[in-house]
Amino acid sequence: MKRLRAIPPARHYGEQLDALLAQNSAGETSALQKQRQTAYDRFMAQGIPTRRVEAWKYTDVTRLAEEVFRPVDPAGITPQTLADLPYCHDGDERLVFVEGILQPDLTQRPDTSPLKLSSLSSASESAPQEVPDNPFVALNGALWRDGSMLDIPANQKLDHRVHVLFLHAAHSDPSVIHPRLHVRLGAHAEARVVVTYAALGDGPCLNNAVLDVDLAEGAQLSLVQAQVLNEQSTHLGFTRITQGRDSHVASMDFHAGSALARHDLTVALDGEGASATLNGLYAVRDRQHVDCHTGIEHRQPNCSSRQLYKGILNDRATAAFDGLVRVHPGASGSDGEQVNRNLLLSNDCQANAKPRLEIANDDVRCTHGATVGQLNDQELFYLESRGIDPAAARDMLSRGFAEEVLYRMDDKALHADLHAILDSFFEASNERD
Amino acid sequence: MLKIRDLKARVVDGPEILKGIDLDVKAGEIHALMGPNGSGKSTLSRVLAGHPDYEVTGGTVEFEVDREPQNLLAMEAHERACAGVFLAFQYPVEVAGVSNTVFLRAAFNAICKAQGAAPIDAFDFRELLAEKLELIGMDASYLERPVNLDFSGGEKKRNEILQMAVLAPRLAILDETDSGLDVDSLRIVSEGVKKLSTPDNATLMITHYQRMLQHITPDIVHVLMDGRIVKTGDHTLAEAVETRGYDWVREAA
Ligand SMILES: Nc1ncnc2c1ncn2[C@@H]1O[C@H](COP(=O)(O)OP(=O)(O)O)[C@@H](O)[C@H]1O
Ligand SMILES: [Mg+2]
Repeated sequence: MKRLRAIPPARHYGEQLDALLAQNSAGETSALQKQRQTAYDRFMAQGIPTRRVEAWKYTDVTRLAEEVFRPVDPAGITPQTLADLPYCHDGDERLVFVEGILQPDLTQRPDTSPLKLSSLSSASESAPQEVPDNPFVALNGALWRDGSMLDIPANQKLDHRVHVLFLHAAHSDPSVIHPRLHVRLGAHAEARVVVTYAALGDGPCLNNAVLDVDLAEGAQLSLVQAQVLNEQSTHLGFTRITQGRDSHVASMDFHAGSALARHDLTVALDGEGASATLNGLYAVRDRQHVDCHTGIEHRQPNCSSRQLYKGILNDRATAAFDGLVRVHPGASGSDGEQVNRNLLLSNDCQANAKPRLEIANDDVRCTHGATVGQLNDQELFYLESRGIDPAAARDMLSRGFAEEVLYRMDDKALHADLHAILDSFFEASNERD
Repeated sequence: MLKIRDLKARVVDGPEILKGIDLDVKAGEIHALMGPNGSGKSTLSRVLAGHPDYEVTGGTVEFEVDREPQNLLAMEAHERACAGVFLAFQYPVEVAGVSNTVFLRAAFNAICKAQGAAPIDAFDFRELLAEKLELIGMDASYLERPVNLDFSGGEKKRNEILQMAVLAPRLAILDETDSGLDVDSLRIVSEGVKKLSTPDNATLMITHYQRMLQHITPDIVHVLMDGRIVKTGDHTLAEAVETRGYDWVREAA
């Protein structure tokens, strides 16, 4: 049998597009509807990649060709539900999407906020033109509902955090959301944006997110993406960051939840002197799988990128990291650093790391490194020699491993939130020891 | 308090390093263990602390707990610490992501728990720390930093003594604490160690040179060579070693 590189998706995807086009609840222009159709055609043409495709070598998504996830109507989430979520803070500007639909009664916006929120349905010019070779981005382009544009005007410094939540409510039928968000910072604007993908029940769901970020000259963005879906869920994320001159992004890419997660994060350093700090942490156990791809394009001189991705694996979990730093001709003075470290807490888990550098220039400073290993014996002994029992020592070192990347977050409240999410990861791990 | 008899040990599956050590330490005493590089001083200290790289191939070690001699070699490393054994490492380990305070409080509470005392809360612990920091002339800024990470050699050594001050062991083994400390630090740390010495505890100072012994006068001095204690005497032995060298001891032994 010929081994296929892609599998044709089942018919239900087409049915979902037809239903969406027929319903046209947002009164979309025909141009937008045409974009959806084009995206759909691209998705069908690309098909669902198999592991024969290099970029999908470690992540098997072929079951998505047949498995049926349907959009459901938003229901069942009250302000109280939100108050109980660990990462919601008073004072945040909060945009809440349930099943992909913005919920005005859950949304909280200070009157004075300079943030402009608009619908992608009305702003068709905002639909990104250049589409990467990724069928799920095309699928998102066909099926998103209530895509939104967040604009922070030039020279505005947001004091408060902006928290965008994409929530899957509790229900048992396999459901799907195609979150689509576009964040734009004008020249010299500053903002903190948190995007959370969460499931409130434990039913199966598919979360297929596309996030576009544009930073104009001198803009500064702190971006946290927290994927805390449930253990039945599949997360496919695509983040595309474009940076202008002297802009800066600090990103935290956090995964602890889904059965399978695949995230592609690309950064285009398109303006001289732009810099990106990309931190990541994934924690997987049981048979969870996570696959993070990063691609940093140094296109202009004197840009810098710093990546630290760390992973904690237990039980039979698997993880992959694939990072590419590419320095284009003419991008002199590029400074790229890429580190991936994986901590294996069991003998049955497995991590693969593939850091890559492609440099078309002399005058650059680029380093990369990857490690996969267990807890360090000398460190364990050091802790034990102070009276800390072996289980507690392991726990302390594992948390320390995570802290080594989490401490880079300036936002102390979120830092505590992510630790709290990890607490449940470690508690679940310890219970079975 | 500590009774070592004919102790033999090696690196797991390696050649024998300790070839029959006899040593008695009583409460209230300060001992110095001297010896040339590679003679086995650190090995002895690690074997006593329960380091997993080493394997005891013979002999016994008794450590008194509540006046009852216990077989130290049968205890796990953390149990030894809870029983009151403390090793100040020759090369303290860096622990990324774990702050000094969190680490110290976990250790303190583990030992409290093992000894049947209530755990200390973060606030009271801070007060306790402040007092100990002062004793060894250390800045509070070290507390929030990850354990030993990017500390200078001297700072690491001080941090070991801070831990000793906080955990208040009954037997402290200081492995070359003097190396890496500048003259002023050495004086301050030595004063601290002296103050921590009480009639109920004991200190075993391991040193290659006798720098620290100029500040702390040991009651008993041992010379370790090639895995055996070849000579034991009073503090004048340390001075003799300093002026005449280890070859003299070898010839005299
Ligand atoms: N973990 C180890 N692995 C291999 N060799 C070791 C180890 N620890 C000690 N040794 C060897 O044992 C001997 C004694 O070392 P050590 O106890 O460190 O001496 P000292 O502290 O007196 O300088 C040396 O030859 C050293 O190389
Ligand atoms: Mg030594």
